[in-house]
Amino acid sequence: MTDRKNILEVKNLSTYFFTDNGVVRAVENLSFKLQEGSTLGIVGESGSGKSVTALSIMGLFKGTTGRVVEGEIIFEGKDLLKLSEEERRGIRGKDISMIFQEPMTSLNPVLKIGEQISEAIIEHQNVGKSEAMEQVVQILKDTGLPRVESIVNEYPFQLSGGQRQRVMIAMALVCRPKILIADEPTTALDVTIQAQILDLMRRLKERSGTSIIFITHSLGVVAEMCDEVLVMYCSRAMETGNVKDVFKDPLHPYTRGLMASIPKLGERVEELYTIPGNVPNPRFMPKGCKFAPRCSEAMDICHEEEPPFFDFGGGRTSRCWLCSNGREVK
Amino acid sequence: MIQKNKSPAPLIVKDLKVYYPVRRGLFGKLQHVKALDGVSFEIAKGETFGVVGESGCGKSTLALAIAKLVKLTSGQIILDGEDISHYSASQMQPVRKKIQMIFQDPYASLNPRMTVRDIVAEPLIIHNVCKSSKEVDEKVIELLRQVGLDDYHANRYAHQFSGGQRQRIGIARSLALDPILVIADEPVSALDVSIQSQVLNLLSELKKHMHLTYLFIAHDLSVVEHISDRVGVMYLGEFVEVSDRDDLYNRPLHPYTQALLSAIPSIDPEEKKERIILEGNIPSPINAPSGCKFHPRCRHCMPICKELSPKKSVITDKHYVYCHLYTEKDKKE
Repeated sequence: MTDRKNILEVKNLSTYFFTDNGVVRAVENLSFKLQEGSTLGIVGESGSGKSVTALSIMGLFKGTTGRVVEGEIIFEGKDLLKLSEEERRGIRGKDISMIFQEPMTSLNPVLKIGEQISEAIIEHQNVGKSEAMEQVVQILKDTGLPRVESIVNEYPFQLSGGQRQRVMIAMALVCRPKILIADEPTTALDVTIQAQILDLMRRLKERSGTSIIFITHSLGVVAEMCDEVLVMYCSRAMETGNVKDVFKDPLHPYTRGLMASIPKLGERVEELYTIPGNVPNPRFMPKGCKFAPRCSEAMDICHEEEPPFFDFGGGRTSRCWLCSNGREVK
Repeated sequence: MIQKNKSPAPLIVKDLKVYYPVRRGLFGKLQHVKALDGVSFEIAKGETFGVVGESGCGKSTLALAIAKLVKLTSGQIILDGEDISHYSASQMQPVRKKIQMIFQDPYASLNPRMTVRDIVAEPLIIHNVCKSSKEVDEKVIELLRQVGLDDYHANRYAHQFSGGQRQRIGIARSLALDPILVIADEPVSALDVSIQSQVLNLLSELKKHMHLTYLFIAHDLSVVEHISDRVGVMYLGEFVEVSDRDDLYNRPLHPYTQALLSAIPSIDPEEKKERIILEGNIPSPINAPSGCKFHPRCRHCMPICKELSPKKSVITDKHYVYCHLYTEKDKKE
């Protein structure tokens, strides 16, 4: 495979929330690269830090106790974390944009669809209202919405869930961003509508070449949409690599457990594989590997010392002592 | 029907209809949301009957109607040989013991002010099945152990548990009265992947040990395939296809079932299956399309589909489908 340019590089990112009940370490020492024109899937269970990673890249912590405490987020040679809020505003929505999970709650209920989408155009491009509206109509047509001319004058409540998600996608893509972050864009939708939206995202990506970070808890969606995958557990990356490699031969016991525990179509088993126990409480994190208490292959060292990343080349890494035959990443 | 045992089928549902009246504006025309529009099926003892469909297809109304928690418009519900369709609330009281529900959202379905003991004991006390409070306590502990919780959990409150554990509490409560039928409405859809398999295994294990009969409602076809013996596919308040599990998944006949199955993303990145992408959305159940309700989204739509709603076509004694593609065939043969 040819080496493509990295459009985004996240290095040792840590994001904490400083709550009244203590510090919640939502993202801990996370590093990854997004190659130009490719799709990276971030997969993990709820509370694993997927969404906070997205918010860290977008810089959306206003009004929360969250803060990036360490690390670098390098976009086009610049560290986003060193920019002023004003400079980040110039990037947000223009170069890097985001689709949020719930199309029901993330649209403004009192603004017409057309006004909401043209907001981003007027903010980032030097165009007037009528020209912005022309762009809105065009992008809405690209997303396959019916009767676009009347939808621009309607409010979100008049649309169905799938239609609202198309509006969200249009809003995120209207300024032709270089990076699109999609946070669980199909989780709230029915399977047939999910298939429509995934198909739409694939077509739009082919046309525009946008690089995508696709956050989801569904391994099936990752297999279908992504080139690379990052598996998160307890605020950390556990395994990374090319989707085909990771799904064919998962290195980390957590990835193996996740894949084994979902019921698959056509596979009829008496009993499903289960990962025992629960995700640990963030305030009482185990000392060594965070997955060790639930891991069927845990050894003594796993409970004592947190494993580093072991590199197997080609972007393939695993944070597990079982993989210590790989090259250790400092 | 096929039932040869002495005991009747736990549940027989005949032509069940539930319409919700809606009026748009003060002087608007009275219309009806046809949430269930003529549903018939039965569940045999020890069987798990899975119901799948997209949101708004009437799955949850079906659960509520069978538990008599919504008013029936017409049709019959026969529970354990007893026709409960016209029972009043007070007549239902003793019958409620026989039907128990497991709800979707374990965060909303447990009272935050009650301890786990009180939550699980409540049905036992209401139905007066234990002689003393000591007996209630013993039964609660037994139930908690059955669902994989510990004795000391009894004195805690729901908020102290994770989602999976809360769902176990809900399951313990539903089993307290040895119900004839357990209705599980999306019991795992709010749970994480690794917890989902734990709860599914628990449900299968309990079924085996306690000879339970489940009506299992879910939108996830792979979950339904895993747990069910027989499956019904719903669309806009009607079944479009009902079959035993293996035949339905190996040989889906209705174009809607085929589309649903093809829409599920596979975890094998190499697998390239032919995808049927349905156009449009589920139509409003107020103004359902004429003829076959699926025809505006169907890729095999024929002129007859717009006119006439399809009759039941029996493919095998366990597999039937409501689609003109198969009635046409019958005529020719």
